[in-house]
Amino acid sequence: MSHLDFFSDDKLLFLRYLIKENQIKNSDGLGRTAIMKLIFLLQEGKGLPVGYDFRLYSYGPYDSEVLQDLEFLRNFGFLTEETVHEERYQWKKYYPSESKSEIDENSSLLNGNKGEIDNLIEKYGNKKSRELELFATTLFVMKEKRGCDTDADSIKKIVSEIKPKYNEVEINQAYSTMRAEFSAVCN
Amino acid sequence: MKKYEIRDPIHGFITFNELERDIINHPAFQRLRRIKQLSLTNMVYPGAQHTRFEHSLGVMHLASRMFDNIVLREGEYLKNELNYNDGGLQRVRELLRLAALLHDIGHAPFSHPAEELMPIKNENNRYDHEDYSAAIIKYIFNDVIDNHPCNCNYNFKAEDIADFFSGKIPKESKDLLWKDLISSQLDADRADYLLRDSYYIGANYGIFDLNRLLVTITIRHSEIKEGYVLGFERGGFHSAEALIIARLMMFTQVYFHKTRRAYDIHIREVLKELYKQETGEECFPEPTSKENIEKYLSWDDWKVNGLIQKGEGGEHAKRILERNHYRKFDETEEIASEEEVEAIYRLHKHLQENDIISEIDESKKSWYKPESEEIILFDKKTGKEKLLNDASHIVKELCEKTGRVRLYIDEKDREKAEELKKEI
Repeated sequence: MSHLDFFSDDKLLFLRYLIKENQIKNSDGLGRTAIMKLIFLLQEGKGLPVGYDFRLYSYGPYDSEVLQDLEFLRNFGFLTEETVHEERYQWKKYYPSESKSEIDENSSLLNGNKGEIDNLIEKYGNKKSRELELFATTLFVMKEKRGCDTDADSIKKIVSEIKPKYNEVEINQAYSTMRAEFSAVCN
Repeated sequence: MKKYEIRDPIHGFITFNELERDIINHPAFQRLRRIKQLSLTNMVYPGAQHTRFEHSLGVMHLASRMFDNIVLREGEYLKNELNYNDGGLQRVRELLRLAALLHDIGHAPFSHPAEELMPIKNENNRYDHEDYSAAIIKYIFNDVIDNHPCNCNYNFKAEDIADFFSGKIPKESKDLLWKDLISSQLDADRADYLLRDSYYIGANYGIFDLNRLLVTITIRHSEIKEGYVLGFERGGFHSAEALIIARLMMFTQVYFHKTRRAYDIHIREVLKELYKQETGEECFPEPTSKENIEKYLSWDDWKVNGLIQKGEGGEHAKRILERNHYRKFDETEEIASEEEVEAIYRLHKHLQENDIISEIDESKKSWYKPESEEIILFDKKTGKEKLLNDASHIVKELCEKTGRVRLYIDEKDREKAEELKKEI
């Protein structure tokens, strides 16, 4: 391992690229929940070998390593953060650092997958984290129940039990969107 | 149901029922008596002789204390928001206790250093001890759990408990919420190991106010995380802060202690050599069948120590026997700069090119690395929520001190290594 690997780990480059592309396409930073869910959609929906190990929680598919990597990149100055104040809480948005925005796009993970990442960012990068959370949980359930003879209504029922704060219309919409976007992995 | 109790230095008496007793007495659980909690940390702190066995009992005990406190104060919320009834809460309490009891059942000899012998799971990941825990519950404990007379009221299966670790959707989807009690930043696992490890090593770094923590732990829907989470009431701010400080102190003083980490390197190499020698394989068998799991369970600290005592295990085993470990040659600051990291890797490469044994250790790769904290404080009166990191400057500052990189060498090479260092 050379010193370059310390900062040029495939996952770290992928994270930086994701955040940079979102800023280019949507002129905005990305929050932690949105980043977590976008990575899940890319890894488990599009089959990108990012290498996180997502497990299901009541707040959806989650791997704490994503947050560690974000903090690592921020500590070393590759990302900057901005606090956003909402009425009842605050959250952080991540941006690429201006002084360290150059990314080696020839890494094995980025090379050949940039199209998929760009495409997903274009479609989902500007969605609210609340919506992305429902998308990711729905995809998780669809994938796990694949081949189990589980019909659409049963999948929506499970999603509704995990996410009781979402209404029927939202769950139907999320199911249709995920079904259309990731049909290859859900059948 | 008959109750039993066992004395514990951290929690006083730990009580358990007949089903739990039969799990505890099972040979696969008794194996945990032969896996030390902190691997070879006893080479630095001689008192660190405790095992995964007593820790597992402690986690079961603490998980249900946390659960009981939440139900006591948030029972109405759980019934109204998540449709739990009294029977459902009793069922999930027992499920949680068993998951907590069995959470470490999948550890390999000497715990985390052995995880490098775990086979590849998918493109970029290895199996980890939680995958083995899930498989052991499914293949070995299914008979004890599924057919136990005390389980007739609950009627859950071993697989329901395994789902807590495998990350799958549980039979009762809403039970996902309780997973936070054994797998999150403020879980019973962490609370027990900090107190227990501190006690056995003879230091006070890991001490925090457990009783205050227990009466301020709560459950709410979080807009930050978009789901139901365990968090603290505002009044628990300082106990939550103390828990994080305790964890960071334990990380810097114990888990990432320079000599302890050197022994992690040695025991990892010993395990690789012994496992290859005894089985002809590079990795443990995959956790995908009963036969594989039985082979895996035949390995524990005693077996490895027995082989080391017989003179097996090569040069690294000899180093352990003679306490002749690799020594720290260089390290970055706790908050390393990019330049420091580059310099240490350049030195590492230069030493290797000149046939000097050189090992790099990064705190970000340590199992016990302090994670980016997502503990949430809830203010019930205003309905507001805040991340502990945003509320506490101390925690925010401390959490950044996790980027250290160290370089180890064989002490006999120090003079030559110093010369080579001057060259760059």
